[in-house]
Amino acid sequence: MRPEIRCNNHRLRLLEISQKVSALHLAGAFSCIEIIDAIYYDVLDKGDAFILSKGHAGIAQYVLLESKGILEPSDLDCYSKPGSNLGVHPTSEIPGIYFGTGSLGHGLNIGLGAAIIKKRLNKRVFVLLSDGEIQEGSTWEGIINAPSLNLNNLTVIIDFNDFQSLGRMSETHPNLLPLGEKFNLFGWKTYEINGHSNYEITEAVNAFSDKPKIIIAKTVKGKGVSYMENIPIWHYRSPDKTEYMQAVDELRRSNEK
Amino acid sequence: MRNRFAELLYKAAVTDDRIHVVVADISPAGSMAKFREEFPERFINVGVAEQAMIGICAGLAREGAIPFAYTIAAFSVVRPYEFIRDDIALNGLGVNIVGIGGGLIYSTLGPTHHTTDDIGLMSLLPGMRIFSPADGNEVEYVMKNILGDNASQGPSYLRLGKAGEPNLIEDVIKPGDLVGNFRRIISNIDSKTLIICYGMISHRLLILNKLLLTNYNLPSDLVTMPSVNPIEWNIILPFISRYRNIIIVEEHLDIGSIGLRISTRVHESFSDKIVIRINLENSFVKKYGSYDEILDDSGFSVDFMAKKIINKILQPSKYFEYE
Repeated sequence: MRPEIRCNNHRLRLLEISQKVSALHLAGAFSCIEIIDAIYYDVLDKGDAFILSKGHAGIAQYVLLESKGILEPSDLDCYSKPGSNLGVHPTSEIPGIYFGTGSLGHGLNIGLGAAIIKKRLNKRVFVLLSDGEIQEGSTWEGIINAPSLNLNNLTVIIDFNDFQSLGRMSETHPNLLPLGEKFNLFGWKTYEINGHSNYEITEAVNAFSDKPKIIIAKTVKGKGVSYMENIPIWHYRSPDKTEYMQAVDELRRSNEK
Repeated sequence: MRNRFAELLYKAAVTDDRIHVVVADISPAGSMAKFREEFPERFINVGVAEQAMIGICAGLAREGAIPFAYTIAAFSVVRPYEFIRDDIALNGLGVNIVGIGGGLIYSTLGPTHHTTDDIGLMSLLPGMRIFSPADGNEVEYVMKNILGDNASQGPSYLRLGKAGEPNLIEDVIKPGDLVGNFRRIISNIDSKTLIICYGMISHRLLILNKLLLTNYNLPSDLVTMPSVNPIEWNIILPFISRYRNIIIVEEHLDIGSIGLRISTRVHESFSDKIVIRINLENSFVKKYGSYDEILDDSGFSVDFMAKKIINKILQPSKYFEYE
């Protein structure tokens, strides 16, 4: 199956779940679905680790774990309901979750610790950050330390959808941009790619680098559904019945192309 | 005790390559320097970056290592507290957080460098073991509790003092000296008064113990708590039952103190006990001087403590301002 179709199917599954619970963080999940899909289908080797630092996209990871047969459809059917162990933010107890997250700015340093050991075993560590996490001081502590520790087995991917709760980072914190130059100066190898292209993601992830790597993945919040793309309200809202039907229709049609 | 800790850690690391040390720009003296020289790949200096120190330890522990986060106590607990809670305690990871100079040891550096809330903060984290040794012998006991087969028992916090203090008593710790959390330092046959303490301040309570006897004719027993948390109530409450006066002295705020917890349980369990808590009440310590001077100045002078104890024992119904 082509990755584009697979990812749209993940989106359809996310939409299906959105009709059962409110507050799904759908748009943030849609923006990173190609990244997580590529990690599970094309990147992770046995013994590698993946940390979803932007824990609020946990449902996107659950959908991938379901797609890979690690979680059961029945697990996802009770997402965020009494008796379920799947809440919005992934916890370490869930099968397939390497390390639980939730509070922003934690994943990178955990990834550094893991990468220190995994480097000796010739294994890799992948950390997915939201662009908002670049504002956390703890993230910069990790940015400073990974190159000093020569962790060239560590790859950070930033889901750069340029949207946060209070607007675009490019407007609220314009001096943080451009990010790539800053990371390069800090001793990382930086890539800027289209975060919805499986080809570009896997190319960048697998490119040789003797330094730790940061991939700035340009993405669109709400990607794949016309009325959600770059519209802030979809950070948190679930579609109603009519909106749901329209979204399903758009994604199915896109699959037929 | 700082040297003894580093020495024992180095020794353990020779045979156990899971042991890693993650420091936040603290100068490695003595055996810690030897650790750094001999095991450079297991000695990580993150710089002045305490959140990274804790996060990295979490990742190391997730991969099966036994990490020690090592820096000044104030910066090993309060600064990265959320990282300790979310990354370590929530996941039950066997990370050991070592705070050096706990309490008021950094007596000239001011309240930003004191740790008078660490025991309370760490007690709030489910599964966190807390140790506060008073001398080298107790450090040895603590290390047995966190290394080897015990490394998998979850996270721990070690409140360490400074270097060069003498042993409380000459004897090494024998199994019979330990009663739950308590290490018996002074035991009389028929004393009705028990002094409970932990960490560096224990040394001056030996003097208090003598003073109470010579000046006030009050014999008292003295125990330390090398292991502070969890509290083994089923063992220490029966032990406490034979005493009438229970005194708990801590370099800590009252809220969050071990004394407050013991006081509550004693009053719930017995109706005939007098419990006296001597601590920093509800204040930052904005005083300077040597460690001994700052203790004297903060309500821990031996004379002041003795008078407080005697007054309360003679007039048990009188309310003190801190209650």
